[in-house]
Amino acid sequence: MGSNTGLADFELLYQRWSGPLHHYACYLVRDTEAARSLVNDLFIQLWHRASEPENLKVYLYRSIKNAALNYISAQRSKPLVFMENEELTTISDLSAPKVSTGETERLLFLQKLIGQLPERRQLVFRMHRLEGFSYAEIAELMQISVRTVEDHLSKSMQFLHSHAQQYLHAKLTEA
Amino acid sequence: MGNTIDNIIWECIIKRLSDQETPASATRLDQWLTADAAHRQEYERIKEIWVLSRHLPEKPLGDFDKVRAMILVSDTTANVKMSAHMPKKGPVIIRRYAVAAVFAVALLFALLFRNRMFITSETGTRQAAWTVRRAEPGKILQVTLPDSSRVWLNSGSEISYPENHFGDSEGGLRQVKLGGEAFFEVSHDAKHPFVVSGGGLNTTVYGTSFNVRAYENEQTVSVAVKTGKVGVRHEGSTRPAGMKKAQDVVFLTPAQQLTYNRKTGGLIEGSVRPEDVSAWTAGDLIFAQTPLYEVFATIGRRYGMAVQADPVRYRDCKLSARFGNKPLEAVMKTLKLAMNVDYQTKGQTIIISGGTACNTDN
Repeated sequence: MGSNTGLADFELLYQRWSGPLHHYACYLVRDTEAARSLVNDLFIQLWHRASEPENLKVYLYRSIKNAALNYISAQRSKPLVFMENEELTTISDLSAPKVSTGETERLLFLQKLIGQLPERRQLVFRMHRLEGFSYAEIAELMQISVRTVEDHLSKSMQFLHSHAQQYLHAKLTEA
Repeated sequence: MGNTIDNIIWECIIKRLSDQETPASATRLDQWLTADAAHRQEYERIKEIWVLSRHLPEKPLGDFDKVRAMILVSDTTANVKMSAHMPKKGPVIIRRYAVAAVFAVALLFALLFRNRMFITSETGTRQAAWTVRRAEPGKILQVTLPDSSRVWLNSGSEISYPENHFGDSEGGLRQVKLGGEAFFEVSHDAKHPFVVSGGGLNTTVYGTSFNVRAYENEQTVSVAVKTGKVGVRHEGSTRPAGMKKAQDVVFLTPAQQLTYNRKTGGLIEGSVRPEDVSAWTAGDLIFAQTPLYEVFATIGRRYGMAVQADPVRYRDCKLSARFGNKPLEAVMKTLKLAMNVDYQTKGQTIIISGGTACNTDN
């Protein structure tokens, strides 16, 4: 794959997919750092592939799922849950928008809100809205029912809707 | 603000927005919409959020520099032309670590002497700009440094480093000061040596993973290597016993551990299983000929409890044991059986007594 794409293009792939894949991997292995390694290793693997996969998205998610399952079965005991990763508070990263247009601000706010959703629900929302997976695909990847997917989406929207209203009101009173 | 849309209506809305409508849900929704202008307004707001969410930017993992480094290292080692017909490569992972180690050795010799003056003197360190990260007792903290290196801080440990000038100091050093125990996974950067100072030892690497244990209350300081190669120097001017005259630095490779005795000044090289080097980051407790008093102190830190134990009484007998990620009671129960110590918990304090098996010369 290397010669055809070049590192610059490969980096674009990484920027596009590493985030969502990491969210998904975290859901599977319940360990932020292990998930990070799985994702990074996958990209290195991808680079060394002889040819580009037919369907990149499918390849990436399927590979991560397999890698995660292998990781889980290789673990003898569950890791300590006490780990706090300060760097993972994405909220602080987004707090300084470069261009202060209305759209950007709203997106940032929405981004923060989504970050407040409970983990499983948040993942369903991201997979549907951001990654464009279908209900069936999400159900398969997350090992839940289609009904549950729909329910998570519904509850996500309820949360976002009720909190977005607060923002809209606050915006009116700000200078 | 009255925001009580019926759950059933919500489901209909979601169905419509995600193109999953059924005739029944469509009818239901339309009824609700025509019933009140306020409903239509709310629907538009909800739809706005739905549409907006499609445009959310993806936040990448942020590790591409590391990935790129791995790719470049493996490419140069293999010295292979990439082509569409290239068969799938073999064990890249082994190769990339091997190369990292080679870099470390070659450059360590060249740069170590040049950097010597700087490492031993504290002048010129911009202390004011140093960031401190601390893991309270009972917690294990993970920190990412400005160069993407990762550090796991054990309970009751802290590191400090110049956040804004990391790698900027004289000699291009990436400096970290450590009190307690930490496991480091250092990003490979041959141009900027990574130096950890703690407990009187300076450990220099270029891109490896290793553990340093330098608790104030412990007699020994240790450095253990999981991957790559590490150079350890003594901070002071007097060379410690056990360090050969010809060298100022001890090199450690994976599965090696260096233990420095603060009191006697002695240095001992030993071996350790690579997987044990960072086992504590998963919650394991490993004791290898550890004086019992230090065992109790470690347990106290790990579970966030104060410990009352007579240091003299528990100084001499040593424990070798391994505990997985277990609750305090399980650990203390085992200790009771093994070392015949009694314990009591009063609030946030563990009180130790007994230990008839703990005599000197055990």
